[in-house]
Amino acid sequence: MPLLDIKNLTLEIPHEGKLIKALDKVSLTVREGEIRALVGESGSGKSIIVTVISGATPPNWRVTADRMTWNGEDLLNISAERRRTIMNREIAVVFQNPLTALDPSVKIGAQIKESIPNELVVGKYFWQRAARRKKTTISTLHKVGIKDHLGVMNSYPHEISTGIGQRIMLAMALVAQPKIIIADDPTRGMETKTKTQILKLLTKLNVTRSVAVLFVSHDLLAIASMANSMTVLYCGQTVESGKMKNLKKRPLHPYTKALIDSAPSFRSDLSHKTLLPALSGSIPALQNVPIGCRLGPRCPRAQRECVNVPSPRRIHEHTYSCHFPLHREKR
Amino acid sequence: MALIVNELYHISNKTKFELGPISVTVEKGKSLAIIGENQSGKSLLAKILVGATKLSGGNIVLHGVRSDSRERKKAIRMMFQFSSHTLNPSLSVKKILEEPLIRNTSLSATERVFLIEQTLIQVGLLREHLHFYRHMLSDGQQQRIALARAIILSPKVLVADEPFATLDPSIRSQTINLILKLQDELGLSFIFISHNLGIVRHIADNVMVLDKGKAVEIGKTETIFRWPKHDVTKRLITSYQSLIPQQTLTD
Repeated sequence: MPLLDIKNLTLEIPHEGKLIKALDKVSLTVREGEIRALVGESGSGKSIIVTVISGATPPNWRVTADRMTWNGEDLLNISAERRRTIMNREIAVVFQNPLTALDPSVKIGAQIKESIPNELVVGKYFWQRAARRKKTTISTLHKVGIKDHLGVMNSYPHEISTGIGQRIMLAMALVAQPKIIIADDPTRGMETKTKTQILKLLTKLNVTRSVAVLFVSHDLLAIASMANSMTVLYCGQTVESGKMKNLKKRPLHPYTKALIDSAPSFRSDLSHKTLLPALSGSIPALQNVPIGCRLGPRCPRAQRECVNVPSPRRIHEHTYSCHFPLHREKR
Repeated sequence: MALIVNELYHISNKTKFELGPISVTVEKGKSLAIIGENQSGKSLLAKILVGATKLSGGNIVLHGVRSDSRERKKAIRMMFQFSSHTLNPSLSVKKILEEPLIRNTSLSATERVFLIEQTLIQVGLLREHLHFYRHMLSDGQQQRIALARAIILSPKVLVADEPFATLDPSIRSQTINLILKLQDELGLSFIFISHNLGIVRHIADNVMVLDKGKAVEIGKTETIFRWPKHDVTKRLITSYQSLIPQQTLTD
């Protein structure tokens, strides 16, 4: 059974008296112990999906879905209290920017200690419990690769670098021993060395503790090196999803192909300083998305049928939504 | 004809950070990529090259003209990392692009507008974009305006500080293609800083590796990627290679 199962999730945001479909029938599943990548450019709604899963949507957003379950529990009709428990204990979210996600006025040590759930702290007396919290904090910091635990615990968020900050966010996510870690673009703007370290850390956690990871990013190089499967989003629609190696070898949707082509590292046949294949145009704003398949105006294969939204088609584990898929093209 | 940097040296008063001495030559129409870890002085070097920060020693010679002349400042232009932050939200595109022309040339108003229109078309925008403001443009278009502002004085050298880092993949490919095209047409020398080694490998002719203000390795792109010599370079290249499957370092 999938851990997180989302089918046809639609999210509407009121804007100037109209409802805008920020997400249009998005489907996403994460199985136990799997690393799934959620790929999309800015404005594709990948961060919105994270918000919806974590339940932090403003009251005037309208969320509808055929199915949105966490471990069999329906996330749409759930009491606020139960939802908090799930968010606290089972789902951990690592946000984009550690500097804005951490409390600037509290030392990092205290923040990590606070995020340890009470049930996990054993001890009869308060001093025993405090000692226990401290011990857990230090061991978690070691686990995420921070050696100087005292220095880090005694500093404020502005005193640390982004790489360390990202590790601290991971440590805070880990103390509750979650079943899934949702990482929202954790490697954005990082230099290659720090990036590889963070990715290795996530992979290690996945292997040793069988934590599922939902990796939200547009850095294909990072994704390809660690993810088992991938879901591609464009403008709030899922365009393709399936096993990483199938998608990379043989993308069926023109957009997936464009994304993969945009990373010159994947191509060994590309000669130096030649033009890269690129889609023309730019990502439309949410206020005026095209009807039908939202890639339509930018797609090189678009024809008249593309004004209708293509229904998802399925070949084994590989799902795609396109009227004219790249069937015969082999790479 | 080339940009020659001789024993460039800089020491900052506040942090006592030492940069250089760096010597490097960038030929006409060639690209130099500057790579290195954070705090290695990459951005500082870019600022010194365009003249935003004064150098403490050495000199920069462009086509035989020494660094401090006004001519050179017109010939080396810069593109910044966050293009949207460097565009004034209360000025229209026309005003933004007109500013360097008013300050550096003696063109009349009509000539200026004509040149701005030409440049807009060159970077793949339309004449109508003259009257747009920053918030009306998408990320890719803002990047194009930043590029237009950099090339409007027809410079010989373009310096860019992480021009691709904040862009989405499909827009990034467009920008890369645009720069390659302009380089081909105008014979621009292109000096850029990037963390994305895939792009560096694709578009750079030469690579310079900086570490703690010192240029530890300078060489042809393929040579550096295949046979890195210095430890810092090796670290950078291996961490990049570890992300790509099926390619290994040759010793």
